[in-house]
Amino acid sequence: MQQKELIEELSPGLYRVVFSLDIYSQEALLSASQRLNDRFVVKIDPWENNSLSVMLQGKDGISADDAKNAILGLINDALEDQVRMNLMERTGNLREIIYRHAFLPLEERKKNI
Amino acid sequence: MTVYEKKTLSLLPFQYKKMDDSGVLLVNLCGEFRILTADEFSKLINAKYPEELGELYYPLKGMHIVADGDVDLAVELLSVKLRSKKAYLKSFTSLHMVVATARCNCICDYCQASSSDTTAHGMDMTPEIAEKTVDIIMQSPSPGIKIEFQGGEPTLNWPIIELIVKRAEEINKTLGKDLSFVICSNLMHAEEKWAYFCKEHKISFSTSLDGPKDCHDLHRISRDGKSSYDRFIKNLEFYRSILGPGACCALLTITKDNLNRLPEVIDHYREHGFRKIFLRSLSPYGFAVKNNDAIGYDVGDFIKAYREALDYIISLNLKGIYFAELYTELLLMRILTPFSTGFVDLQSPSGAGISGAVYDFNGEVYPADEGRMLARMGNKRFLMGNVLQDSYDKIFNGEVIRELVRNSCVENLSLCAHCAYQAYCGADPVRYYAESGDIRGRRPASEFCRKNMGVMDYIFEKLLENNEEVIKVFWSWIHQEDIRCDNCESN
Repeated sequence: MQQKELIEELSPGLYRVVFSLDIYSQEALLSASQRLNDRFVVKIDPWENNSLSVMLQGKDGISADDAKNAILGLINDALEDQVRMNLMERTGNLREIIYRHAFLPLEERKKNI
Repeated sequence: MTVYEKKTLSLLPFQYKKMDDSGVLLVNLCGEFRILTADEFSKLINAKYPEELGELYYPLKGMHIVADGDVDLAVELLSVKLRSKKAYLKSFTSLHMVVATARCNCICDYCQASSSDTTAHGMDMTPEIAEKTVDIIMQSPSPGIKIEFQGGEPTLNWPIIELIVKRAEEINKTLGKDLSFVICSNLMHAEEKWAYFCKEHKISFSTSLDGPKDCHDLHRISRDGKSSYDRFIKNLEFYRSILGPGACCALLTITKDNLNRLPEVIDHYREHGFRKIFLRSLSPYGFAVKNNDAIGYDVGDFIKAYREALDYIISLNLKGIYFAELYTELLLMRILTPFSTGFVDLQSPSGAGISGAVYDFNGEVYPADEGRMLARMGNKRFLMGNVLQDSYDKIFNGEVIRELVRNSCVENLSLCAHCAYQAYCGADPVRYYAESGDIRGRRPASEFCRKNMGVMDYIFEKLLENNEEVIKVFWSWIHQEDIRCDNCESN
C-alpha cells in the first residue's frame, strides 16, 4: 500500500513518480534520474501543480521487484541530490575562487596575496 | 568551558557519501577525509554558528570543511593544497610510448592492440619515423621523459629500439632531462647483446605474467604453438642475472580463468621474486572485445575477486611478507598523503596526451594506447597528428588534446561532480568513447566508474575499520618499505 502512494504503475513495467518543484530542483531530479538510465528508459515532463513527472520504463531483464526497488531508490537519491545541490549553492562560489587561485600563475598569485 | 566568538559559520566545498554502516564520509577539495555520524552530518549542514557544532568544530575547521567569519585563510590554504595535489599537470607529457612494431610472436586472445603476424614487416617502425619520433618527444617541456617501447612485441624490431635510445641520449646531452627507457616485452625471446645494451643504457623491462603455467599459456598464446610461460620464466631469470633483480616488473591481466584464482596468482608472483602486483581488469579494446564472451566477466565479479585478493595480500603483509597491490597503493597515496600522483589512466583532467602519448609504428600520434587500439579497429577519432608531417605544436596543441582536456575534468562531469571520491578519481575519455560512443561517458552504465567505485568503497571500508596493523601495511606500501610487526614470520 505504501509503495502505491509513492510510485504509480501506469501499465506493466511503466512507472511514474511525481516530485514537487517547490521542494526539489530540476537539477536534483535530473541528476537522480540519470543514475537509472542504464536500466530504465527515463522521460521527465512538467506536471500539474508545479511538479515534474518522472516516467520510467524498465529495460530488458528488469523484474517488477527490482524495478520498484530501483524507483524507490530514485526517491531517496532525489533527496540526497537536493542536499548536494543546496550545499553546492552555498559553497560553489568559494570552490570557483579556490580553483582559480590554485591555478593562477605564481606571479599573479603573489600579487593577489 | 570553550568560549566562541559569535561569528557565523561558513561551509567550504566538500563532497560526501553515506557509507553502509560507518556514517557519512566527508571529503574536502584536496582529498582529506573524515567520517561523521548521521547526526553530526545533519548538524553540520544545518549549523549557522560554530558553537552549534560543539567538539566537532575544530576538527572540521582543521580540515577546511568549515570556517568562521573570514574565509580568506582557508581559501588560501585549500588552494595551495589543491595546487600541490594537481602538480602532475605542471610538467606536461612525460610518458612517451613508442610502437616499434605491431608484429608479435604471441596471439593473446585479450590483446588490446590486435597484434599482427611476425612476418608482417610492413608494421615495423622505419628509421626515418623513429628519428622524427625522437625529435618530437624531446621537444616536450617535461623535465622527465620516459620512453616506453611497446608493440606488438617491440624486440622484434630491435634495431629501432637501439636507434631511438641512442638518438634520445644524444639530444639529451644538451637538454639534461631525466631520461629513462622501458621495454614492454613478453620475454619470449632474449639475446645477450640486448641485455648488455639495456644494462649500458639503464633500460628496464615491463612484462606480463598471468599466473601459473596453465593460466599464462591459456591466453598468452605463442604463434609457434610452444609454451610462452616456459620461455618467459627462462628469459626473466636471464635478464635479472644481468640487469639485477629489480629490472623487470610484471603486469597481470585478469580473465575469467584466473579471476577466481588470484591468491594462487599472487603466490606465483612472489615465488618469482615480484614484490608487487597490479590487479588489472580487461580493457574494452582489440581482441578483448571480440572474445569478451569467452574471457570477460561482470564488474561485480571483478570487485568480489579484488576484495578477496586484497585481503589475501594484506594477510601476507601481516605475516611480515612485503607485497603490494599497485592500484590500491596509488589510491592510498591519494587518500592519505598531500602529494601529487599522476596516473595517465586515472587523473583529472585525463592524462591522455598531456601526461602520456603513443607514437604508432607509422608515425601517427595518439593521446593514449587506447586511442591507438581504436585506430587499429578502424576508428581514428583520437589521431593527434603524424611525426612525418606535423610539428610538435600542431600535435600537442591541437583540437584532439584540447577536446580531451575540456571533457575529462571530473570536477564538472555529470555525477562525478558530486561524487565523494572525486578527489581520488579521474576520467578516461578514450575508454568512455570505446564504451559508450561519448567521450564524457555515461556514468550509470560505465564499467570504468563501477570498477573504481567498488575498489574505493573497499579501500575506505578497510580504512574506516581502523585496524592499526592494516593501516601500517598501507603506509608501508606508500613508503615502499617492509613493516616489521611483533608477529612477523621474518623477524
